[in-house]
Amino acid sequence: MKSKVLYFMLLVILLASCRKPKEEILVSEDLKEWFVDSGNRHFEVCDENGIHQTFHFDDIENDFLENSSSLFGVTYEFTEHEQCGQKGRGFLEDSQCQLHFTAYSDATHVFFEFYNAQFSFNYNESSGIEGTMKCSDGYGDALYGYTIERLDSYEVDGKTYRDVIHIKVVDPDCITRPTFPTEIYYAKHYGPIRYQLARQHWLHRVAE
Amino acid sequence: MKKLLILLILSGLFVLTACPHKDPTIINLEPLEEKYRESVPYQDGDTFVLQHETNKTLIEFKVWRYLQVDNVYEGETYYRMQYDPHIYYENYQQDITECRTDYPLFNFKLQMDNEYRIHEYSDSTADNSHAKTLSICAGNNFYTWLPFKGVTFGDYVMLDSMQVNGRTYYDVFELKNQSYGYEYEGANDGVQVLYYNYENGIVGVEMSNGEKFMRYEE
Repeated sequence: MKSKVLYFMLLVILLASCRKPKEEILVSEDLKEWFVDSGNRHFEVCDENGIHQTFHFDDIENDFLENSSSLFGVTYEFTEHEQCGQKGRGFLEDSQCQLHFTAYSDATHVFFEFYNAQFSFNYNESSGIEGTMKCSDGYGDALYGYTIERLDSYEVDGKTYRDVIHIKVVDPDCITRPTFPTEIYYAKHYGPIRYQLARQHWLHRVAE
Repeated sequence: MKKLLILLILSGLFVLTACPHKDPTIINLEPLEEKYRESVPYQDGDTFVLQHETNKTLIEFKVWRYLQVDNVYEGETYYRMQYDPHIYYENYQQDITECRTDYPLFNFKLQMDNEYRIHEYSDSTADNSHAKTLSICAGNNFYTWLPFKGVTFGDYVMLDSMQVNGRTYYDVFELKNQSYGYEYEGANDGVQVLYYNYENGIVGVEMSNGEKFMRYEE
């Protein structure tokens, strides 16, 4: 009996001594460039009828998601995954725009929400986007396929934006919600610069 | 063993008596009076049109109006007052009017309830007219309220008449944004002024960027 206790204590000491130092997994600085810069956070969008509305983005918020592994109450591995997010909103209640990154050791999980359509995928520095490329309607379980491409530049309202992501829903005919975004152009440092809702209305960022 | 059993019973009794149990007070509210419901002129299925003042774009709004009665709480059909966990409303009614458009700009929600009755049932000497308000939300940031039709209180700006797209609207409230508590920058974007009268409902809105959308009737 005494030897069992001794073995157990030795195991605990061994585990404690093997404990890895706390590891912080950070979102890369390159990815953070997709957030909207402080100078660009308040801007106007204009639709095809010349009606203007304002969009506003909050400051970037970051937090750490703690993750630990333990055995017999002894923590031997402890990691902190950085989470960064930024929210924006327009006049309409469901016009919220949210970009969120969570860093893991092998990839970064990306969550992007715009007009209640939610896009999520994993991003790996070497292989790029991976995982299922589906977007869901925040109002229900409907899932839509979409394509995503990266453009070196894109011009909107006479202004050329560098590094632009173009998201397009594959089969927009099946979408009935009038505010569902069927196509989005999203520029690094600026956020959404041009988008279409339910194949009806095109809105674009007004160049300053 | 016997001693342990007695000890357990005694501690059980102690726990039971130590926790005071208060029966909930149930208040049966009377239905929302029809004269107050007339503060909103819309019927379910109605439509109305606002026109952009300068580029003349027409935006059609469809109306959904419904009466929501009796919220369920712990299996009982009582509405639980948020500020007192021991008082429940029976027959709590909310008259909700939603005016929605497919145009991605803003929607309206008008709401009233029969909660004003609580003041009449209570011993409070407070003026119960203050609870007789119609609240209106527009878009993301706009919230305001006005007294029920036939109830007079408060300091409201009322225009005797207003000319809009060739039609005269009488006794129009000019309602400013009363929302508060929002800390984010940009909380004042969107609808800033709403024009409303009891006869026609929403007469128009003025946005933070100065653009106006006014009632359009053929």
